[in-house]
Amino acid sequence: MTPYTLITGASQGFGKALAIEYAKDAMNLVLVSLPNSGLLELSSFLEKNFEISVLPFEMDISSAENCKQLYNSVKKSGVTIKYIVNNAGMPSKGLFEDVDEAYFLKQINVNVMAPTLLIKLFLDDLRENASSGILNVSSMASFFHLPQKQVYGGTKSYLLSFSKSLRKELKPYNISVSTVCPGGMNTTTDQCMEHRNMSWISRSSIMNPEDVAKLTITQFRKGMEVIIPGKINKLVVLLDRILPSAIKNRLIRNNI
Amino acid sequence: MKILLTGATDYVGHQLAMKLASENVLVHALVKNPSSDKIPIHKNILALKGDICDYESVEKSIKGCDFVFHTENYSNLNDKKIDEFYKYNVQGTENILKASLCHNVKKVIYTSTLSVFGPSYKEIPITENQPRLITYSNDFELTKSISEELVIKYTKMGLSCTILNVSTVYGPVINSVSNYTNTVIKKIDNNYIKIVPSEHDEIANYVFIDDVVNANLLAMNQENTHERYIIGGHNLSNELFSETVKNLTKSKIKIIKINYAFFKMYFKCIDFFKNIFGSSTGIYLRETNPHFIHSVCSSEKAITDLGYKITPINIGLSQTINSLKKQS
Repeated sequence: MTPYTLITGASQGFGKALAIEYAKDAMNLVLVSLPNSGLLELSSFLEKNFEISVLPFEMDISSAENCKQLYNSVKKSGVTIKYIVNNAGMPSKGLFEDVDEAYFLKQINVNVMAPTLLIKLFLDDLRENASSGILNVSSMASFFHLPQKQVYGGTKSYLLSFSKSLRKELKPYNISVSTVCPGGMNTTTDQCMEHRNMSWISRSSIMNPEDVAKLTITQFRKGMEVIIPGKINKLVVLLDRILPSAIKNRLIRNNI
Repeated sequence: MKILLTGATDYVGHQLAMKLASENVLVHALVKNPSSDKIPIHKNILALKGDICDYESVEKSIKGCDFVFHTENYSNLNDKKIDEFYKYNVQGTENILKASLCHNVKKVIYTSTLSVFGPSYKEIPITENQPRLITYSNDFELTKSISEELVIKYTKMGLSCTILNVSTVYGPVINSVSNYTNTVIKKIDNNYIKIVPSEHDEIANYVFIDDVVNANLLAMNQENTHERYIIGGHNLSNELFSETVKNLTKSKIKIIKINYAFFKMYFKCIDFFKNIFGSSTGIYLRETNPHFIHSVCSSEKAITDLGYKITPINIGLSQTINSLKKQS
């Protein structure tokens, strides 16, 4: 049975770029994204032009029930998973006092519950297909503690910590666990506009998702524990250890 | 029938206004300067002073119009700031959509660009369903994409709208209104040497102006409330395009291929001197960038749904070259 790579949040931005990169490598894909987000068009384009098999699942993975349903549907299709890319995530939405409860609870579900549960559900697949791998998409926000990024930063820090522990546990099974921590990326039109209006210095760390995807997959294959794409982002993480917190937070604020 | 048309002093808008007027349609042409010599002259064309960025003037000129043809855009790739792109392509388009919805316009026909799809993957023709594969490479692409998101938002609110994603337009020069491709054709006809980068022979799609105008009319008459069509012509490599023009013009131009790094350096020097002497003629390096990606497309959907027809490239180019010769 030919193994597949499962990517969540695959219809746009970084997830889409990762899907395209995997397709270029002739990897069969299980793509998951919200309904009407362009997933079906992307899947059909990849299947037609890259001669791979793509199974699209339009669903909201913010509930455990839907994650289990996704697992059952994948199994019903007779597909086995070799790599899991937990990319789906909900961004920050301002000050904590202004964000409503429903939003941040859903954010925690998508950013924390879903990747954790999906790994648990597909663990047997990963064992069977070893050497296999898990790529969790965290953020530069996992290193820094910024206003308006409270829940988001927290969920991304969870992913980093969870991945590092899990990496140690799964090593004997030949399952590699990596975490990628990208900075700002030109993904949606809104994000691009926001980045376009930044100062030159802030803008210099912004990367294009297709470049980040290429770098990430190369490093993931090498089995890197933490992947930080981009020289400036790497430098910021390095400076984090030596600079006073006031300066480093100012440097990173506009870039996440 | 009465329609509102934006961009009447630009290439597509100008020809579209003349075509509509010749078919007995009363054209309200929204223009910044009603005394501009670029405004198409016809008894059925009424030049109304206004600006798509000024909602009041849009609303004033849209009253009683059955259809809106929105062709105006800002595409000066030599502009390093995004402000004008955003103002015209996003805010201007939103004003048109908002006023059209308020005044029960039957349909908005929006002339957009093929470049919102980004480059084609290898040489696979872009179709209406192709997802964009890479991020936006310039402010024009970005702001036109935002404007298309606005169109989708307004169609959900009940406005009927058709987006026409037009590829690289060429065609005869009328009333001194021309475009980038015609500048390239003119250069092949008049110059002795053309320098091209050796690593780049990408394929682009060239559409004849009359076909773009006809597509607008076909879209107006179509019953669908929200659709998107790629309006293209022939897919030709840069080299084949130059060769075709060279043969038709009987030009003795020598096409010299140089390394892309040298090509960039050559253009940068030219741009530098142009900036010093305040000249805005000719082609700038930033304008050439979109021509170094594959931009192959298919108009099959427009052919099937609208009855769209493509003018053979030799016929279109011959007409274009004749008009350019007459002009010079």
